[in-house]
Amino acid sequence: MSLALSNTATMDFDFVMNSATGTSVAKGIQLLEVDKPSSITVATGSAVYE
Amino acid sequence: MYREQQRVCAKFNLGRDSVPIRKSSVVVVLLMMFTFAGMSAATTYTAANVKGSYSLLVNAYGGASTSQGAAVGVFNFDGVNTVTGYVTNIDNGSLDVQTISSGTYTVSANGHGSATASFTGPNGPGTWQIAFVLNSVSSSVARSLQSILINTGAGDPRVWAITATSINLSVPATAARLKGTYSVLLNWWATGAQQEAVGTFVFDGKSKVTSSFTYQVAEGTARPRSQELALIPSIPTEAVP
Repeated sequence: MSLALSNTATMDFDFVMNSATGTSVAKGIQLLEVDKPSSITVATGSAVYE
Repeated sequence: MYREQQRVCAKFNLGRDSVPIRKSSVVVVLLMMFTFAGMSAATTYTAANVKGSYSLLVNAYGGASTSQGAAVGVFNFDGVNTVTGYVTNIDNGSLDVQTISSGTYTVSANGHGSATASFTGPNGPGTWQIAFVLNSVSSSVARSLQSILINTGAGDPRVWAITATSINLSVPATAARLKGTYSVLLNWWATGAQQEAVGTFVFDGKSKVTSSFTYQVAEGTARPRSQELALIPSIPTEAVP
């Protein structure tokens, strides 16, 4: 997933979805930013279906 | 004397004969029955309670003295003793995909488990020894696992924390599986000033997502950003069971 941010920066995430019972939408996502692997900072996160 | 006996005894009618039994004895027997009933109802777990594909989020944090690490990926548990899968891993400044070449796991009756996964990848082989606990067991399957790495090795000051959540797909995923509004919490794991963001992703179920975030840095300054546009080129293979 690629984000073009309003401050002209970009973020690329690799993600995995979860809790996708039956044919429903995924209820969760776990994310890792992968566009700056050489950085000393690593960005991760999680998202929950509202 | 007879009245006293009547007061403390109850008569149990067994056919033609009545058997006097002290009420206190009846109470004791009933209490024992309830106690043993409660003990027998205690849940025990096996490897069968960890089955299917689980999404992973891994964070390796060591403070200011070392580089940070993180990974996302998928572990597939067979419900018996074998785990397969892979992770997209950032460690020591490099990104690679590591695949499990050999993996086993066990689950104790109390819901604690352990797994050993040997990886191969562009940056060389490695092994994770993982301790985990089952969480939210439903329909006999743990919906999530809370885990740590216990073989971080000499000289590695980082703690590795892993959250695993059941993917629960019955058919391969498509972009339609991401549709609607998701609340998001992002953390930047840094050696210096930390940063976090909270906000939303809104997926259209096809290929686009918009987001709105409020960023917070260590100094406490909030920086709202909104109307960011993103494209999802494709659903990554991690989403497929």
